[in-house]
Amino acid sequence: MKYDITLDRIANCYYNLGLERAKLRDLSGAAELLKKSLLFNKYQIDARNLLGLIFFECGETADALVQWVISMNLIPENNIADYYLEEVQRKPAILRICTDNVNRYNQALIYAQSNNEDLAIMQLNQVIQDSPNYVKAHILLALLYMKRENWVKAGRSLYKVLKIDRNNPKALVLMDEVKQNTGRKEVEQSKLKNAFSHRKMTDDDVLIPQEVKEVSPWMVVVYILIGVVLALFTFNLLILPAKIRAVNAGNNQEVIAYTDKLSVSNSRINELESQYAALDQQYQEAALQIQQFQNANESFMGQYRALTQINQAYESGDIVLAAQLYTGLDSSQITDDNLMSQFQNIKHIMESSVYQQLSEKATNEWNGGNQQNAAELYLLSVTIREEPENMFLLARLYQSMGRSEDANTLFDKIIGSYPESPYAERARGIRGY
Amino acid sequence: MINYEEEINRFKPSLDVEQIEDAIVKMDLTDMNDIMTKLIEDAIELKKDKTK
Repeated sequence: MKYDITLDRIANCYYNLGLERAKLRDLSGAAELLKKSLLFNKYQIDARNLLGLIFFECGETADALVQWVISMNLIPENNIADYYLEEVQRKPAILRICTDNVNRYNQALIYAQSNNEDLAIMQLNQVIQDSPNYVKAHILLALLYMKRENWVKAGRSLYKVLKIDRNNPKALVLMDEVKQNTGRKEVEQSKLKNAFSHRKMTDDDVLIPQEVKEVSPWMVVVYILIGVVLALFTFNLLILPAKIRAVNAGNNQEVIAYTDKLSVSNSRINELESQYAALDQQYQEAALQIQQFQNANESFMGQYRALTQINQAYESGDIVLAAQLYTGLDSSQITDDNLMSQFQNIKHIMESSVYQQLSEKATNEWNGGNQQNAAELYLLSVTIREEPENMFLLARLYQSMGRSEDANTLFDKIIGSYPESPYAERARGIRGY
Repeated sequence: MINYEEEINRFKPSLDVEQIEDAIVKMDLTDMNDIMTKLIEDAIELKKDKTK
């Protein structure tokens, strides 16, 4: 059964009829036929694209986009819908204006349906100003005017609708009502009657010329003046509004062009800002790395210098200076392996012999009556290596110097840290435990 | 005589650009070709069932 071919033919017929109607500007009729065509063959892309165009012409941009997108999805190759979609997307301002108008129309509809006619009329007038082809908005506005018995304004709106869509059924019905209320219907009917009531002239009929009247010069001047006044009146009524409309249309195009440029510039600015942010972040990271390298380098140099000075002091026999430098060094900061091995050597020397030499030197100083020097040397010795004996001697020295608090602290430390040591027993005796 | 209230209430909101995606998804694209194919398939199935 070749039903598919038959269906295609029916769809094509409907499309051809729709196209004819569209050419005659009967957009409603054309849309109905095109919908029927699509009902018989959804792949009738010409019908779908034309239906989209009709929607677009009537101000229903979203409906038009729906048809074109579906058309592109059904047949992506060699489809003029691609061009239509590109044209709409290429000018985001058009889409924005359409969206705003749809929102305003929907808002106006809510106002109209909730009896806020003033607000609805105001909104619809704005919508029509931006989208003069918005058929639904024109009809709704006409209805609102008719409800208020403002027949002239209603008629004007309906006239615009019929200029866009010649056979719009709703507009025709409403226009009929308007004509009845303004008396235009009777005038038109009588005109029609006259037009068809004239009989044809026969060969025997004679046209009798009217008598030419003499006109005085004053009347000629009056006629000229009347002519000038009429010309001015016609200019103001017919030509001036058209010119104003043309200028407004030009301005709107300019605004659209500027909006396009603005959106391009905005996107460029956003791009540059994101690039700037990325570069700034890279710069901050690089600066931080440089700072870290500098700090590490300075730290390394400082540690190397300190270890060298300790070695030099020790080799020259100045164990006090060597011990002072050693105790002032923070070993946890040494990360370099070479420096760490050097530090371990010095530590071994300090903890095996230097602390004892310092203790002996301190004892000599104490015996020589120089308690302050002795205390400093004992403190260095104890700092290098905690030996209960040296801690006890330092505590006793503090006692004799009157620094009881420091002495008690040291006694308590000996008792707490080295309880088995003989000095712990002595410390307990002194502390009275 | 036209009832203006009724006429105004018959108006439906226009489709917003943001609702296009939903509208496309919800659109019924069934055409006569699909219906005919379905009818023929059903008829064939019925015939097969009867012969069994």
